[in-house]
Amino acid sequence: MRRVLVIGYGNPLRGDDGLGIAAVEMLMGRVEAGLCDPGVAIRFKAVYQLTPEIAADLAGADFAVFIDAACDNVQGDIIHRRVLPSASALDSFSHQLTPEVLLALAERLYGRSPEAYLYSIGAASFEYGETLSEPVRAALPALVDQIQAACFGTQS
Amino acid sequence: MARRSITLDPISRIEGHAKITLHLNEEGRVENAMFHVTQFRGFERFCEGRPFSELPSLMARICGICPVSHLIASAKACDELLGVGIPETAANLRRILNLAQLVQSHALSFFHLSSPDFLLGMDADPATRNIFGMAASRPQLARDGVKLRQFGQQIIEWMAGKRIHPAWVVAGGVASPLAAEARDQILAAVPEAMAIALRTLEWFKASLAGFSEEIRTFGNFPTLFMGLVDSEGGLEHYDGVLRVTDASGRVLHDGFDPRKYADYIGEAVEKFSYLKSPYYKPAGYPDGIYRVGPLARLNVVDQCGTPRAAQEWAEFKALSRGSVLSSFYYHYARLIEIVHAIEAIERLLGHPGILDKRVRAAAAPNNTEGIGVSEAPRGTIIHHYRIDEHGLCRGANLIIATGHNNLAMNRSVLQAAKHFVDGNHLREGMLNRVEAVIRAYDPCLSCSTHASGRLALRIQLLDAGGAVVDELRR
Repeated sequence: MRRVLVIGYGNPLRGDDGLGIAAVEMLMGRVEAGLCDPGVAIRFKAVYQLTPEIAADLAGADFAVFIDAACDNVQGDIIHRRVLPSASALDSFSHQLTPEVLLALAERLYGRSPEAYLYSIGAASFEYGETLSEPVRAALPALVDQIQAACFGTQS
Repeated sequence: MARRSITLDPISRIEGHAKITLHLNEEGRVENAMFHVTQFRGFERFCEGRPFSELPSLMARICGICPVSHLIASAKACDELLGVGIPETAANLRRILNLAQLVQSHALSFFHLSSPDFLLGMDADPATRNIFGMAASRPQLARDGVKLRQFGQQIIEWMAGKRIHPAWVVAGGVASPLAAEARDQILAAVPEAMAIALRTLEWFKASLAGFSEEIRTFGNFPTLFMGLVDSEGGLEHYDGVLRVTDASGRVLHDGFDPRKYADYIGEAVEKFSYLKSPYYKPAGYPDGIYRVGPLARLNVVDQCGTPRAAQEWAEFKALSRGSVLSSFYYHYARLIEIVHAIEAIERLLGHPGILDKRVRAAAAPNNTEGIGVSEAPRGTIIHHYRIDEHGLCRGANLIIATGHNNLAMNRSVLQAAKHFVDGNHLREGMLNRVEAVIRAYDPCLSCSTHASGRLALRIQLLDAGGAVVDELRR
């Protein structure tokens, strides 16, 4: 069975930074409602930030999706890209890790890392608040459709 | 030579955003140093007007690394608003959760943020002085760090749920009893976690001889220490009373009621930082400088409470006749606390009532003011709320662990910078030591929005007019 790991990360008290968590919750809802292929073993993580132990989870997955808000793209635009392991993305081993570093850490420590992608929506606001901005909220279902298709090979 | 300043901005490998400014005199020697916290969180205002029952889960969002600590202090403050004593089982479940939080947070600090310095050396190339360098040099140590952090995280997930904001700890207790399956899962994971903690402690103790200069100059000065102790003066992270001791180990105040914190703790504000500078009021400001956290907790207690940790604590205390003063030993204390936490988790899970179904006391608010105090990984946290007759929050005051240590961190930076930094001949290793002093405290300034992009360390040497005359980048 294909092992899929979906990781949404960000601070849901800072407006659009809550995108990753919101997307995980939406996709989790679809899985719990039986709308997705039961033949895929999918796991979810909703976290504030990427921390080292997630490398162990990645090493146990065949396919991984990271979801985070993007601050350098057109507001409301959906972006996705392949993420490859890269230790050089670790500039100073700061308080948060990147998807690239986590994948590299999985390889170094456990000998394997999954095929992985980062999905984002261009954010409009990171101000205090628990709600997503209108452009991000409007784009969220389509983003989750794309992630669902990538994880399960189907559209909702 | 004109007066100059060196700025380290941002500091790497700490939680949150901060910078260090080193002011040089005409001879290029460090004259003054300041640790600036450059982000503003505003949680005290943010929660005004919210129903008090929302505060625990709201406050848990203060921090992505130690949400449980704030959850627990907040729930304790809300218990007081309700005016109830929570069921013993609920208190024990909260204790376990708090200890699990301590294990995972200490593991992050020790293995992933500070161990590269210990393993590869303070002067090692920063390109390899990190987790990957550690993985190349001692892969088992790196895997141990991941495993120990997983241990703490999994306990939190098994007990409080997997969602990002566990709403399990609530005013009056916890939302649901512990399942036997969760208890058994945790107990099954204890032996491996303990083995990791003990072998890491042995390795670190053996490494200490190589850091005598750092031990001598990393925040090694007299201060007061503060932490919770239980009714027998033992190590306590959830309840009890606050004890203050001095550098000689003398007890200045043996257990003031945490609810009277404002009688003993003043809160000064400095222009250069958003972080408050708490001080021990009877000693005045800034003489009332004190430290909290693992080092302080092990300094203020009379005993450690669990057998394996007690052995290690006795060895630790033998480092000094009075209090152990060097902040370098925060790392050592952190490891002993991990051992204690694992032992205490196992012991609490063996309590005959741990699976009891009654885990919550229900009541409407009976008080308009509530204060909750607990020990977070980095030290004492205090949540103080006032509510109106409708149960809406009308005021909040938070003193977080890192705040208590603010004065000590500033003085520590100055001590290390004076010893290691020569402004005329900057080397990366000098500045890494200045950062490492701060990392010893494991400050948690907490992340706000994490915009993507580099978080490179930038060190600038500025002349009196503000022009850059030298710069280092990582």
